[in-house]
Amino acid sequence: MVSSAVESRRRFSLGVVRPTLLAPLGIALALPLLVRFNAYFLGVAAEFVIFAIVALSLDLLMGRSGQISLGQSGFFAVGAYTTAILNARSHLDLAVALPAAAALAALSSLIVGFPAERLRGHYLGIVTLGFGVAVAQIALKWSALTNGDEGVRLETVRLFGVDVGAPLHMYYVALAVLVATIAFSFNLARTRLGRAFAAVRDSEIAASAMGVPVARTKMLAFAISAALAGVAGGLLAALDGFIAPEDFGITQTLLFFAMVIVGGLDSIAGAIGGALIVEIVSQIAAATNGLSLLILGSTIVVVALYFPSGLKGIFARLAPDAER
Amino acid sequence: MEIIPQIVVSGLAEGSLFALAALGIIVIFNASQIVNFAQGAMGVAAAYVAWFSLTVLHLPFVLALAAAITFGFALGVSVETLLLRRLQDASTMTQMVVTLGLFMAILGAVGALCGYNPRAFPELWSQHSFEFGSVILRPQDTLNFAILGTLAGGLTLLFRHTKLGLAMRAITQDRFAARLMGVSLTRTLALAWGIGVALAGATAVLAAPVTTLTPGMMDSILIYGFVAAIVGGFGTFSGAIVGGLVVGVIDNLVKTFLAPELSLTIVFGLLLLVLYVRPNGFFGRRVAQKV
Repeated sequence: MVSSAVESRRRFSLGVVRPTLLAPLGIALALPLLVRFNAYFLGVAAEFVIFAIVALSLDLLMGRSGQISLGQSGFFAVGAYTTAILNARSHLDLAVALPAAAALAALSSLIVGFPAERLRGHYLGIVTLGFGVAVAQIALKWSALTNGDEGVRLETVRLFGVDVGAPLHMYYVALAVLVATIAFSFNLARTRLGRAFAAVRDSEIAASAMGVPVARTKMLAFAISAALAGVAGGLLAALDGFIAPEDFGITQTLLFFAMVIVGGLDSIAGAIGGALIVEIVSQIAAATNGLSLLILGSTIVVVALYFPSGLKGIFARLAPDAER
Repeated sequence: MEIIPQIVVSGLAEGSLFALAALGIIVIFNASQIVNFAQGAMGVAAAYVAWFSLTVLHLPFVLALAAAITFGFALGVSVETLLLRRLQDASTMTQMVVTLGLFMAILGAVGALCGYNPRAFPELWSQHSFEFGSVILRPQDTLNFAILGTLAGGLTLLFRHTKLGLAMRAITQDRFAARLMGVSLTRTLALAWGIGVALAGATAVLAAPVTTLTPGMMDSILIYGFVAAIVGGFGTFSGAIVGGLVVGVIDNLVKTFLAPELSLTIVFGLLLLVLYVRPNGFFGRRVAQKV
């Protein structure tokens, strides 16, 4: 705690740029070469990067601020539909559509963030779960806007006027967003806001006694998290070129949830590792419906019972000296 | 406007299901202070047991319902004994995480074993409809009322007039004192989970002919059940039943007069409103937070 207070006096830093972390970045940059530009693998890799962004957004909420969200697929869906509809109807560039996705998702988060001031624990879980289901229902039934279960098909996806529809291009676009998200998440811990998040997480009563505006802090946590998830949703719409309501059901929320729990809360590496595990299990078990849910659900139960801090905890035990 | 009585009656029949779902949630919550997010998935598993009994074993409906309830009871008892007992002192977050893990695992297991294709669930009750003036009570509605009445009545008798019921009420009030009085915490908790999941099984069996049998059939009923429980103050049986019936009527009114497809969304909006105005529901007491 003391060290983080001292650290916080430093200005914004790209603290992520450490030798041990340059290796994964190098691999990520060179990945298209390693898979010989195979479109299938690039698509899977881009999807993983997008899910890692969602996992980070959920970690911001659950790990950093102690707020539970079982409706992350709702924010993800708002971003995806915003991007898809702006693209299909108004032919807007991603440079405009993605910020719009972030803004609308953040706005939608007020629906749960506003009453969240008074809600905690189970009630917040129920309300956010209801939010996710309601968004999926709107996507399915408000056909005039969303085409209902026929989904929305995107036209040529452009970023600053350049066609980036191919999996290779979308992989690099998503990777850039992921790196920015990591840098943001890493630096958040040393800002006033980041410390307010931690204070609310650890004790709302103590936080408000110290002068932290609890209600506003919770709403901000939801808004930032939703904006990130919304951008990720927009990226997925651009990558797949097509979205439909079934991409955003309870199952998707549960998968996002699995990522942060398996990876370990309050850990950037944990969230990304969790997203990687979920993506690998989903791809391997894709042949049998339900199998990946069964495996991941059982994993969550085992993790919660025996490894309460997830992957993060397992690595910490293996290498006690390493920081998170 | 002459259709309003019909809408209200149909709403009450639909609301009976939400009331049953809410009762299951509350029996478990009162005893263990855990909200079981896997309640819907567990109910679905029990409904598949009933489906198997009806269509493969050709059992009569009463036995199929009994099979589903027994399966739900056994599932609840084993989940509590094997898993949740270890988490009695864990944080709310951890407990929620475990029930969500169970939600995924059970949903996945049902999907992997039985597939995701919807299955037609046989009509449960092929007797004639009742007519009261302009109001028609479909056989399905009568069955819903009858089962809600029987199970709610049974629960009330159990909680008011048996030692087990006394034990359950005691551990809700004060676990420590209850144990000093000789209440077996482990046995009572396991039975509470058994009863709660059995109620979820009954709910799913009653819902299945309408929704058709799919792994996701309980997703929205679970949300309605949560809404009913919250509106009812999250604690008393009468609150849960009234909450369920009210939500059912509102839902049916919204379906008829506003937007048939967005009923869940609108009911969810009402929930937010209720939570904002009265965070403890209409039947709950305000509890001061101690530091």
